[in-house]
Amino acid sequence: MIERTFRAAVWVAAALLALGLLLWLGGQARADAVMHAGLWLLIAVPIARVLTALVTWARARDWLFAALTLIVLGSLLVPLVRALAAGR
Amino acid sequence: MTALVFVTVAAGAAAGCLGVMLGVGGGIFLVPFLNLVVGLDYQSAAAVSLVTIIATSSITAASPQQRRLANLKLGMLMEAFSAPAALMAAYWAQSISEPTLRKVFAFSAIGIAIIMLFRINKRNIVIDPLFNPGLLGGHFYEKESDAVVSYRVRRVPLACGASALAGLLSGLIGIGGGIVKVPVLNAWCGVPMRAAAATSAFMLGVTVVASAIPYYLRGYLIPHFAAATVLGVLAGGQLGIWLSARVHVKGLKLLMIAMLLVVAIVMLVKGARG
Repeated sequence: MIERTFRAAVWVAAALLALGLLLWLGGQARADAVMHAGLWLLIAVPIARVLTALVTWARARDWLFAALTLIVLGSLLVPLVRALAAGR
Repeated sequence: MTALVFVTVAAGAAAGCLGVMLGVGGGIFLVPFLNLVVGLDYQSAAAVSLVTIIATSSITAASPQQRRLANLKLGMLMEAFSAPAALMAAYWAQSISEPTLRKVFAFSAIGIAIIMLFRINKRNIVIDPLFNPGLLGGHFYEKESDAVVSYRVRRVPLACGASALAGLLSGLIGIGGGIVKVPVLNAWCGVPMRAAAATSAFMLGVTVVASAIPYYLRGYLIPHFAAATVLGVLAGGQLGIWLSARVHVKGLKLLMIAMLLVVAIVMLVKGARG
């Protein structure tokens, strides 16, 4: 079920990239914004997958693997949070 | 410029297909192509390559066939080493010169090719349903032997070290790092080739996001090249999933070795010219 959502998200990202690329070929100014939306969605999918793993292992009280997942999640979110805090 | 974008779609399709079949992200083929043929600077080529590997990995991960082969616990343990290494290396790469990055790329490719060549006939298959795979082990059904294959993960610290190295290379030269993890898991840690490839592909997206975010935030990602390559990779990846069930593992390894050596030599020659 949740895997189906991830798969759908990748295809939505692909559709945004295709649309953006067509707009770019047509010389439209909005093209970059559409492609950036697609790229960020693509980046969000593995982050969401790590979050899912964290929830699964926390529910199963498998703290070793929950802790390992937190290390991974930190590596993904720290630069994003820093960039947001810097007011990008 | 427009023609180059279409060439990039085709290159993405080829890399996506090979990447899925070999259990790597395809970056090892895309980075040299984007850098040497399309003419993007090394960091921009790496950024595009990284984003396309996220797409390949997400699609591979979503295929039910690959999910059954992937070992989630082993994958997450390895990511705990890959992801932080990738993040640090991605920041580091932005202060390294292009010829140096090309040389690092070439020597990495040669090293992996040599390991693969020495281990080409090795199989790690135990056909015994009572076999205890331990904390990190796994099992899957293999068509050729019509049996459930179980394996125990040996030399776990080595797998962790290889993951850190894979993450470092991912952030530094713009590959997924599956090309480091798969041979090490297969050759020394007792993980069968298909399980190693599926585990690597399943978790690759995570390493690569850790590498890609610093490049993206610093403006190295050119949206139209990224879009073109990702679309190509997604199409090629679908073909790769279909083909990978129909091609023998040994043939895949030989193909991988040949491609690696060709790519390494081209990168060394061009790298030496600056």
